[in-house]
Amino acid sequence: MAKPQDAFVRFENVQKSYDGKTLVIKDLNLDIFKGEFVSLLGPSGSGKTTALMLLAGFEPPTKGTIHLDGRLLNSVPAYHRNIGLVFQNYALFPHLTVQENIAYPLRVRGAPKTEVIDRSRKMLDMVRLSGFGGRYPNQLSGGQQQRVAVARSLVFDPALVLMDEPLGALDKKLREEMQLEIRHIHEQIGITVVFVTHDQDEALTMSDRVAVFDQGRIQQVDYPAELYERPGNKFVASFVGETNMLSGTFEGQEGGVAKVRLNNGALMAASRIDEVVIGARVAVSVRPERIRLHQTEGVGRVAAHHVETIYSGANSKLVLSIGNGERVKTIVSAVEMAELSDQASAIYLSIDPADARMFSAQA
Amino acid sequence: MFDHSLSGRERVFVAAAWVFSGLVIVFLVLPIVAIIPLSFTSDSLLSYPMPDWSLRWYRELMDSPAWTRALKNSLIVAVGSTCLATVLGTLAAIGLNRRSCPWPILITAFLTTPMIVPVIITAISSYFFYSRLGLTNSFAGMILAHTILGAPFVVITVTATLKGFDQNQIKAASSLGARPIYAFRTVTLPQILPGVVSGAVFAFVTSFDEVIVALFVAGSQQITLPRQMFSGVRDNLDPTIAAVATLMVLVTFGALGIAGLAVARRRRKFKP
Amino acid sequence: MQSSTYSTEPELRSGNISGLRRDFAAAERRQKTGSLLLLLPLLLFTIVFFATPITGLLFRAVHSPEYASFFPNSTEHLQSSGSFNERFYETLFLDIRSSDEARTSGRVARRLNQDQSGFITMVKRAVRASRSAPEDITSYQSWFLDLDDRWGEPDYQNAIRRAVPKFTDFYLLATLDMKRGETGGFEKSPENQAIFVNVILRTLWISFSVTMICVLLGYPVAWTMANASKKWRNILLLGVLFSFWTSLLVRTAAWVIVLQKEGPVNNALQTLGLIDAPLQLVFNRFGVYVALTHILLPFLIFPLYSVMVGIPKDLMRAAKSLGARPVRAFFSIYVPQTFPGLSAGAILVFVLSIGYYITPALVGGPKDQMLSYFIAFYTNNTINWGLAAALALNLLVVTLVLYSLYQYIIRDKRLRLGGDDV
Repeated sequence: MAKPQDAFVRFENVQKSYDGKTLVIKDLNLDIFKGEFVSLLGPSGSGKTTALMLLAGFEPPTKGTIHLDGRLLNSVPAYHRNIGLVFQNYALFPHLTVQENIAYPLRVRGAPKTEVIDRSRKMLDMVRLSGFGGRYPNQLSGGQQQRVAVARSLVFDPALVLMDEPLGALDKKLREEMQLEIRHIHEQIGITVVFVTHDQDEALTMSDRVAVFDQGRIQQVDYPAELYERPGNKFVASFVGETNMLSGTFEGQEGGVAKVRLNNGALMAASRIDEVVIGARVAVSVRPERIRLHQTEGVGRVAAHHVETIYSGANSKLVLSIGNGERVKTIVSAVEMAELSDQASAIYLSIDPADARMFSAQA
Repeated sequence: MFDHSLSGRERVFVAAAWVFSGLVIVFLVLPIVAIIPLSFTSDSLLSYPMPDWSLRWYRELMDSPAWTRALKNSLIVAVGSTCLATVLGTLAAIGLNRRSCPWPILITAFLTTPMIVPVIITAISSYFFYSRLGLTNSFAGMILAHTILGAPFVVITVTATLKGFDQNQIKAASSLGARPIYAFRTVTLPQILPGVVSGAVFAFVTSFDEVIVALFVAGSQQITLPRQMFSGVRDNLDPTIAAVATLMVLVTFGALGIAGLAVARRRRKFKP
Repeated sequence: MQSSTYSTEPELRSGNISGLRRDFAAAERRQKTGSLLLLLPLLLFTIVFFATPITGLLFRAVHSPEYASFFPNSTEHLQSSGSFNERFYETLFLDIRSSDEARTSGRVARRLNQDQSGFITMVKRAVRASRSAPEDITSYQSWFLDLDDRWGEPDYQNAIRRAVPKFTDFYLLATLDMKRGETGGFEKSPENQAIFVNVILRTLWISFSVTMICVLLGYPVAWTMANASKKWRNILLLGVLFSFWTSLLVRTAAWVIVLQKEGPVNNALQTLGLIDAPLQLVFNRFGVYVALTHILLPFLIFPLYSVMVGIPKDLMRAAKSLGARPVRAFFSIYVPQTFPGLSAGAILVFVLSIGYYITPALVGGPKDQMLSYFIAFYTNNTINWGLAAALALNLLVVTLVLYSLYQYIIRDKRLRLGGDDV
């Protein structure tokens, strides 16, 4: 385990309750390193925004400690933490112009006038809003307002910047643009970013590491690819990316591969992730794109028949039934699709044991 | 004016409603407007037709120490109680609208009861209470009692503007390094100012128009304009009353106008 | 990776909930303290300068310490034996003497006189006579009866009996034209004192009438405003606001001037030849109705208007397309939707009018005075503060009950005072 000074931000055994009865954050341990872009991902009510508010200093942790750069933050008020914050609804000051909004943190710190003007202009340039300095926030579009909010949170060289679902209010196209833009800014100035989102695509595309939250706990912290390819538990597997969750019974281990009897009677091989006893109910997670389709029978292949095709341009999604009500989704390219539709009657699918991850059914 | 989907008979009803509403508005406005010209009569009777125009009654007012002192007293009490009510009411409204405030509905209900309790009750209980503290027949007593009557309006108007105020802005300001007081001064106050100003106007007008507390709490040295006017209407109705009434209308709408302009200018700045 | 079922919850399982609560409470207390610090000045101010005085006033309604504190001997006697025997008159004599020295006899006399007139002269005479009374009075009873027969009459004795307890329902009963008889049961007050039920009913009736007039006048205005174009809406609103913001006293004075015998209204009617002699339009009930309606009408129009603005116009069209006749659609679809605004406005008007003092005092006649007038009267003219306080208590209870009802109705945000239009 790293020492406190190695991690830039360190949550240690943090708990938070708003009402004295239920814990919104149950036991949070998380290290964030300098210059990292870390996303906190989870469904609403999972505790991710609360974690951010604890770090920003708007809520005191009920238990545990938070360090920033080796300094204990618990009793440091928000205005002394030197942490930038971007809100989903921007929280721009409507009575101040764009330039005045960006200059606000500099004014608070009593920066000389020339510096205030100079730095806020540079910030405006960086977020590509030069010339908008004299406008009021409500004269800007949502995307522009969010860029102002980002500029305002960075202009005073904060130790790190927190973003609370900053793109949630934008439409899809604008959101993708802004994702790139924020990513760019991060690379350009190398600042540490903690980014809260409930959108897994956003988390995967933007972050260096992602912490997945559920029910007040971190379920897994990992690199995006690891998270997707090697989810650590059933929740992460189903929350991050699309997956097929097949249920069955664990029948024992054979040469490093777990044997699982599926509900339809077929036996499949999977990688064992959770420790379970023989005969236990398990769930096997398989990503749709990892399922291979065949037109002939063979060893380890499961017979299936076609239920539905969902066309979506470059790829199509195929829904197959493997008996006993169990359905499987696969993703097929246009070329494969053409081959399949020639002789649609019999389909067989196979799954590499490395791509099938077996979890205990309860969690 | 007419919805095209209306039938002929409905149009008759709509027209009747319009005529009726017009008459009601006339009923509301005309009596007030009617006494303004009467203040310029040369006659000592308050009736039309007036024999001639004259400023006689205004001159009489200016020359009467009773009336000029009443005006001065009214202004002292109104300004004093407005300041006190505005500060107390604004702070309380901010406290009430914080998430951590305990029992906000109950406390708001309590703080606004002076608005609904009949003034006669407030007046005589203040009279009994103040006489024990030696506050009757004093400006301090008048200002305190009028503050009680005015503060609820400030609480209500400021609360109304705070409802439209995004509390995240305070967090944003705090994260940008602003201490609570600095954040209040630079972020909250400029935005709730319209509510503060209209609350202050309410408080001012309430005090400037108040008779009953003045009847019980004020001494001969604190007689206010409304109280002087009350005696005038009761005992000796002459055109000076019309002149005072005209002046009071001017003061009220002057205060309203100034406040309205101030608020509108601020609003235009960030709400085009 | 941990799984997250509640059974493995360390905090809850280890029974450390109290620790969590304590930590939580400490954090929460800091936050609450902040809010309270802001709230506190006005809260304390209101408690000290509003709640305390009112409590003090209400206390007076049930507090009558004069007799017991200044006539302790006869109080003790009446409390132990309760009969008006020789011993009573002896103790009364002692009390009269000592109160003469302490100069407190007047206050007791006034208290007794509030119940039964005549006591002021009786006590005064007894005080004067006691100064020259012989040392050896054989019968105190006959000494008193010789001074004044009334000392022996049941009506007067009962008044003394009622004045003895420090806490009394005497004033409250008086406001309902009742008193306690010899045995402590309720009985009707004598006719010359039984005026308050009449006053209360009159107050309620005037308020009710004014409320109804306001509804009749205000409903069409609110409707017209809600359905007018922006320009006309503003013109109508301006008219209502002009009246609303004008000083209450100015408006009352205006009505006195406009409605007086030589006033513009009588002038106009005479010029038009509709009447020969000027009508009495003011200093009577008519004047009270007119002036109160004028003052309170805006309080009905504003809430009603804000509700009507929120009613979609399509609704009436939809009702008609479903075959409802216009009048029927109006009463079955539109009017029910305006009930929240209508009832809020009506209660507000009613609550405000039951407490009015200035306007009835200036434009009404002697028979048009409402509760507030009598509260002021008993405070100022005849110093009967207990009765004033009891009347105030009645008024306050009615007001607060109706105000709670009003609060209940305006849970809907649109109706709150201090919205955009006021």
